[in-house]
Amino acid sequence: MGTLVSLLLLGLMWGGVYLLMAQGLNLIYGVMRVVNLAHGDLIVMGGLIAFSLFHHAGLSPLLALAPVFALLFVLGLLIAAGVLERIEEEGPRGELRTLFATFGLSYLLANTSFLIWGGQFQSIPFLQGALVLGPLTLPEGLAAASAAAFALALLLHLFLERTLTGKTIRAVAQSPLGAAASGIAVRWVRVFTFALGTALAGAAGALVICLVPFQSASGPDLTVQSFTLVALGGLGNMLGAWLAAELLGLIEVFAQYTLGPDAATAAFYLLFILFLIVRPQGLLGQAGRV
Amino acid sequence: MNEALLELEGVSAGYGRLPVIRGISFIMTEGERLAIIGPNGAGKTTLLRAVMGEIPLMRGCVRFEGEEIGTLPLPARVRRGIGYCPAGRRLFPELPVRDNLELGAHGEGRRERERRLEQVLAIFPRLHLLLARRAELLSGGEQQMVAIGRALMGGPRLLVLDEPSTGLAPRVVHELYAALAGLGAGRLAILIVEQNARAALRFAARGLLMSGGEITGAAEAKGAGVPHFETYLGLKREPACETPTRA
Repeated sequence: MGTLVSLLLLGLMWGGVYLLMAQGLNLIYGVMRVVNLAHGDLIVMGGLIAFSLFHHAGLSPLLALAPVFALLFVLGLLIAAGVLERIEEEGPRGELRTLFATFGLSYLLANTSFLIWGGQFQSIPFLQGALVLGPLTLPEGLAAASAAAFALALLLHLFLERTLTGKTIRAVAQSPLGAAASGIAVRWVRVFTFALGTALAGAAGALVICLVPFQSASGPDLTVQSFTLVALGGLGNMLGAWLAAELLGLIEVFAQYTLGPDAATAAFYLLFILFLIVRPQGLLGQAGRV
Repeated sequence: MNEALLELEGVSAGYGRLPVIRGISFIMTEGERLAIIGPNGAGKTTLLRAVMGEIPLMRGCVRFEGEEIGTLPLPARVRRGIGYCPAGRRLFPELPVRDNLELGAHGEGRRERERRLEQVLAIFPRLHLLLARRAELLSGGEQQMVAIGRALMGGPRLLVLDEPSTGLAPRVVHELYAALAGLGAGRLAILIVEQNARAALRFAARGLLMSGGEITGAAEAKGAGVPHFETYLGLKREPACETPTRA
């Protein structure tokens, strides 16, 4: 029984971390209808900045969240205002050009990371002990990362639901023309949203690098994983992404325990393929968007 | 004579390289109600989209309160004082009515937003009970009230409405136009585009007829009332001679 509860908790905690990884991508897609192929590279960059702050300034990854968030926010502003919002074309051709632009950005970011941090895998040895709760034993690092991820997810939710800026973001996601007709500067909301999504990706990187080592070329794998979660949840759907993230966490943990580490990722992608066939709109489809 | 509030001079606009409207010119003054009517495909919505900056001008200029606004994007025109209800209402379906309305005055402080909300609720009292309801759950008429209310929340001097009666039952259209008539009593000017010519002409003080992307007719009410308009625009036949009275 203790093992089952431990596995459940581990799965849910990993789910929290995966949610944070996917949340930025989901937010950007929900508002801008942009699939950001550089998302994983931004996660990696956030992780490697946290790595540098830990090794050169002695800053713990939890404290590094704030500067990483701020730096990646500025980077997101520059990318959105300098590149993505300059693509004037609308419709499928515009979306394709934006997709190519983020594809190019992925290479640019990966190579920049390579020039700064080299090609070797890096990790942060942070909270490597075990958390003992009665009969349950949980890794401290995962518990801390998961708690921080849930806290950030909650803050994002409250920001979108309660603040006027958050409501303008949701308004632009739901009706760009309606938002413009309300006098909302849609273009700047899109730029701000991209920057926020980028900052969230960076924060996710700062936490994930404590659990999984990164190297400058790890980005595409993380993009695929994040995009899979977003697609499984229902594109642009926050609640769906959360459910998908928890599902991934649980499947990975249980598959790893019963079938071994190699089966863990394969089991999730098998489920994803089944979902694409049976329910291509994802867990929650179009309901409950950003 | 009142000064021009909105002035269009030789406006041509369209999609891609193809102009849909050509050489449109007219002037609206403060507090005026102007209806633009015409058949489907006449270019009425394209004209409004050009006025609001949804599509770029190919030729001509648009002035609001004497200032050239032809190159400003839509949100900037709204912030200058032109309230806009686009076709299809374009509400935020998953946000409650209160948020839909308040976002129309998002640039104002909380107190001012509350004040304007009270004003809108005084115009559309039915919305009082619906403030917490998601916009997608409202009837068509209620959604139209929210769309107009949202435009009014910006405190406009000119309200631009694109086909507000589309898809609404006649009773609801009557109710909506009654509310609009109340709005037009003050300084607020209203520019309305309608296929429902009868409803629009009962409301407006002046009418323009569009056909094939051009203005092909105009009429002033001058107290003559609806029959005069309808006759002028060919909606009703003028009696050929006086009806003989029975002995």
